Order: sequence, then structure tokens, then C-alpha cells
Amino acid sequence: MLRTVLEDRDRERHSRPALRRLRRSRAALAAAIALALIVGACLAAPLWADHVAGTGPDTNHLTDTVTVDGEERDVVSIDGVPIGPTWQGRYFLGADANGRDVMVRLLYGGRNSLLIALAASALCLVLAVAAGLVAGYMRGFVDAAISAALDVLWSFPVVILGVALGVALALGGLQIGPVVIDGGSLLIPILVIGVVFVPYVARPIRAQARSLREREFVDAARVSGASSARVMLGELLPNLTSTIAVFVALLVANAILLEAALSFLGAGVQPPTPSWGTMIRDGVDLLTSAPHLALAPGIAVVATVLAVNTLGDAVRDALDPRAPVGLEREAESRAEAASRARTPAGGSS
Amino acid sequence: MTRFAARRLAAMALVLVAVSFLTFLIFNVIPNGDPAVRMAGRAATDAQIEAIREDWGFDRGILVQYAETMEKLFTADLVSYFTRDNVVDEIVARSPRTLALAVGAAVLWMVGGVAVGMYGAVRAGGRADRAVTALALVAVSVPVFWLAALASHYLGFRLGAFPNGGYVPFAEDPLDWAHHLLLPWAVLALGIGALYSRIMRANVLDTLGEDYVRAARAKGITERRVLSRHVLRNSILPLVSLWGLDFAAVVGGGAILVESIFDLDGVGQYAASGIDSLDVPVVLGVTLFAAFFIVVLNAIADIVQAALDPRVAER
Repeated sequence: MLRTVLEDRDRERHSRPALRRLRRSRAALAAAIALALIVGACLAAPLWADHVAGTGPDTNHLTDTVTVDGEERDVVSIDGVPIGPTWQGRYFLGADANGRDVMVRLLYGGRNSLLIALAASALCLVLAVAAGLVAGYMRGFVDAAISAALDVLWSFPVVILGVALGVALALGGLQIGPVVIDGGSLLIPILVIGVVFVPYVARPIRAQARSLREREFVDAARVSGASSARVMLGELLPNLTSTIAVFVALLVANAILLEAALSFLGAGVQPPTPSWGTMIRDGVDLLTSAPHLALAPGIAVVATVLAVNTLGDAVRDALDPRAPVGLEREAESRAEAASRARTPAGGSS
Repeated sequence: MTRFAARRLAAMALVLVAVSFLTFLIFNVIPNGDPAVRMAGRAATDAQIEAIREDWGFDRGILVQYAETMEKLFTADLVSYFTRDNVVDEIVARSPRTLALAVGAAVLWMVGGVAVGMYGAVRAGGRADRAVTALALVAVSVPVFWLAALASHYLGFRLGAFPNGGYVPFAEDPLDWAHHLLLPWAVLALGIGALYSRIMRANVLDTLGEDYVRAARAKGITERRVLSRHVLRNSILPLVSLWGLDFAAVVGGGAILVESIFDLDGVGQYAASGIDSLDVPVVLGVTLFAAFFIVVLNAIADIVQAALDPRVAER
């Protein structure tokens, strides 16, 4: 008991300067503000749609006209070219080939993209932490089985696995017992992305759990009669928080990029539901006549991912000021995971 | 050492079997995934569907089907469900294009990443270093297919500085070959190269603090020589094992996203078309092709590391 109390106090002492360091970082502040603006704007999508643009994300306006600078213009011209950005309430960022308002779709699409990224990251973290904790703590056969499964998942080309799962599920939907998930549901990209990234997170967690379990405080907890589950959740998990915190930003950033990639290949969000990835897919074919269709969602993705990455960098620096700056940690953990793959499943390191 | 290598190779084979089975399963247990129905088309009668089912063996147990498919794969008899092309032949014919794409990009991101990272470390904290660090963060945040589409459109189509997609075999015209691949290489290399530059920068900064660097400087050799002989060599090592992994990731990922945009018609584009039509033999073939690179390059990295550092094999 006393040991836990002391450690708690210890942790507290360490976390406060981390927070202070984070608050002092100007880049982190800028990124946090940018992110808040993006998320806020996407959440306010219905407000923009109802009060400014006056149209929904899936409403076509093929034969409508809009007044720009006192001049009446077709939303979609006779030869099928949509209007570019008007920089005013209606068609602020122009229209797409169906005459849908790009700004409205961008905001609603952002909701979907961000929702998928956040939910997939949460799912991935839960699965990966559970798998890593159990494998690292239990060792033996359980570890061998989990590690082998992670090895197989790891050897799958991420995009192919994601696309194969995504296409197959989007076609047929998914049925787990009484729960039926429709093929066009956002749950499918969430599931796919959540699962695909599991080994990248579970392997480092497993390694850390392995070394933590040898520490005295774990022995102490066990001797005082704590069950395995209690040791894992009460003793190991709190010591993994900074590792998990570092992974959050990396996961969210990569999940946004993977959603875009899957939707671009037709294996993510299904039309007409907007997402940044599907919007890029629609826009790429029309780059010649209507570049705004690909530029707007692409810039939204870059801005969001950049903000998340910057924030992630700052969190990492704040947690460990001596760590080398930036993303190299991602590569390090990849290299670390790769070297872990070197010890065959079940072998002790 | 030999035992370690043997064990590693056995594990490699097992992983490949598991990957192939999982791919097969994904496409076969999904509802509405019945290939016979899709092959027969819309206006098919039940009898036609049944005939196709029997013909292709879809009515047999999944394990039997899997075993037969794998046997066909290894005897190069596997054909696409829809085009009836031989999958193995198609992959073999297209692989030079994908490998040319991946190898060129890999060289570019390694050389670029090392050079930029080295520069950043030597100028650490300066304005140039901070600018490069910020640019690298932007580069890793860009979706590669979006960048590919923009580059192809603005630099290729509008500016006319690059050909408008397509591939020219090296043997036909080496210069034209490179001209067609330059843009795809650059696009693929940008994000990974940016990541490498950041790893390299951190490694160099670490190495610069080592005693042997101080000793080398104390001996009086020029800074240039210190950097090239002592710092560069030791900082580059961790990147080498990553290199293989990222190369494999490009074969099984980046290529699928980028090849169609530049119309390179390699294995990646083949994969994209197979995925679109749920053509199981095609997807299975391409997945194994890519997984093979991932698993083999992983194993090579392990064995090389074990050879360099005997402790790895003993664990």
C-alpha cells in the first residue's frame, strides 16, 4: 500500500512539469488552436449548412444558379463543369459535379473522417493495450499465441489488408450474432482501421509490460494477494500511460491518413456519405476542370494531420524532455518492434 | 547462428501460410461474397450458378478450396475469376515495374533523408535546421495519393515537365524510363525521406556526443573527416533495418495508391483492380507477393543483425 502511495506521489511530481512544458510550447499551442478550430467547424456543420449555405451535404443542385458579384451563374455549367469557390455564403468553396456545396460536404465529411479516426484509434488502443498487457504479463503459451497473431497481422501489407477487409465488408456488411452492420456503415472503416494498427502499438506495450513485471512493486502486489487482472490494471497499466499518450497522436494522425487512402480506393466510407477521402477520390478525376474539388479536402487532411503530429511531438517532448525531437520515436518504436520480431514468438528477451 | 537462421526461416514460412489463409478467409466467409454468383452475372439462372460452383469447386469445404488454390499458386496454374488470366504470370510480368518504382524511391528517400538529417544535426538549433524540421513534419502529414495526383496534374499535365503517366522499359530507353519514373519516385520518397531525416538527425546528435568522436577530434583530423568516417557510419546503421521494412511497405501499400495515378501498370495497379472486382485469386497472389517481401526482408534484417551481434541469436 505504502509503496503505491509513494509511487502515486512520485508520478504526480513528474507529471506537473510535463504539463508545464507542454503549455510553454508555442508550436503546441498553435496546433491545439488549429485543431480546436477544425473540430469546432466540423461540429458546427449543420449550422453552416442551415444558416449560411442553405443546403445539405447530399443535396444536388444541378440546375440551380447562384449570384456572384451581381452576376447570375450556373452551379454546374452545361458541359458539366461545377462552379469554383465563390467565397460567399452559398458555394463558399464551390460546387461538385452534382452541384453539391463543397464547403458543406467538407464540414460534414470532416465529421466522418474525424469520427472514424478517433473511434478507430480508441478501438486500436483498447485492443492493443489488452493484447500487449496480457501477452507481456502472462508469458508462456498465452504470450506465444498473441505474439504469433500479431506477427501475422504485422506481416500483412497494411493497405491490402485494410482494402480487402473494407471492400469485402462494404459489399456484404457484417453479422456478428444478432448484430448486423450495414455495408455502408461508418463502423466498417472504424473496425478495419482499428484492427490494422494493433500490432504497431501492442508490440511496444508487450515489451514494456514484460520488463515492468520483473519490478519489485509487481512482486509486492502479488505477494499481498492481488489477482493477475488487478496487477495488470492496477500496477502495470498506470506505468504505461506515457507510452500510451505518445501513441494517441500517432494513431489519430495515421488513422486520418488511412481513412483517406481506403476511401480513395473505394474501400472506406461509401458514397454518397462524404468524408475527406471520398471527396479527394471524386476530385482527382476532375483536377483539370475543377481543381478545388481535390484541393479543399486534401488541404483539410494535411492541416489536421499536421496539427495532430505537432501536438503529438510536443506531448512527447513534454513527457521526456531528453528524447530526440519529433517523429523519430515512431520509427524507433517501429525499429524496436522489428527487433522484437527477431526473437521468435515465445522466446524470452 | 545456423540454428537461429533455420528457426527464423521456419517461422517465416508459417507466417506466410497464415497470411494466405487469412486473405482467403476474408473473401470467402463474407456474406454476399459468393464468387459463383458474381461470376455468373446478373441474368444468370440458378442452374448456371450451380454449374460454375461445381466447375470451380466452390461447393467444397473451405480447407479443400484453400489447399487447391495454394497448389495452383505454386504450380502457376492460378487464374483470375473474371479475366481468366494467369495470376502468377501477370504478377511476374508486372513486378519489374513495381520493383523499379520501389527501388528508385528507396534510394531517393535514403540518400535524401541521410543528407538532410546530417545537415540538420550539424546546424542543430539554427534557422535552417528549424525550417527543415518543420518541412519534414509537413511532408509526413500529406496523403501520398493526393500528392501524386497533384504532382501528376500540375507538373506533368499542366507544366509538361514530365510525361503524362505510363511506363517505358529500361532496356528500351533508360533515359525515358527514368523520366517516367522520376515523379512517382519523388512522391513516394518525400514522406518516408522526411521521417528518415528526423531519425538521422537524432542519431547524429547522439553520436556527436560519443567519446570516440571527441577522441577523433582531439587527434586533430578535420571535422569533415570526423563526420564522414565516424559519425555518418554509426548514425546510419539503425536506418538500414528500417529500410527493408519500408521498402516492403511500399511494395504492399504505396505502390497500390500511386501506380494507378501514374498509370505505371505494375503489381500495385493490378492489386487495385483485383480488389475492385473482389477477384480472390488476384488479391491472394498480390498479398502473398507483398507479404513475401515484408517477411523476407524482416528475416534478413534479423539474420544480419544476429551475425553482427551474437547476443541476438542466443536470446
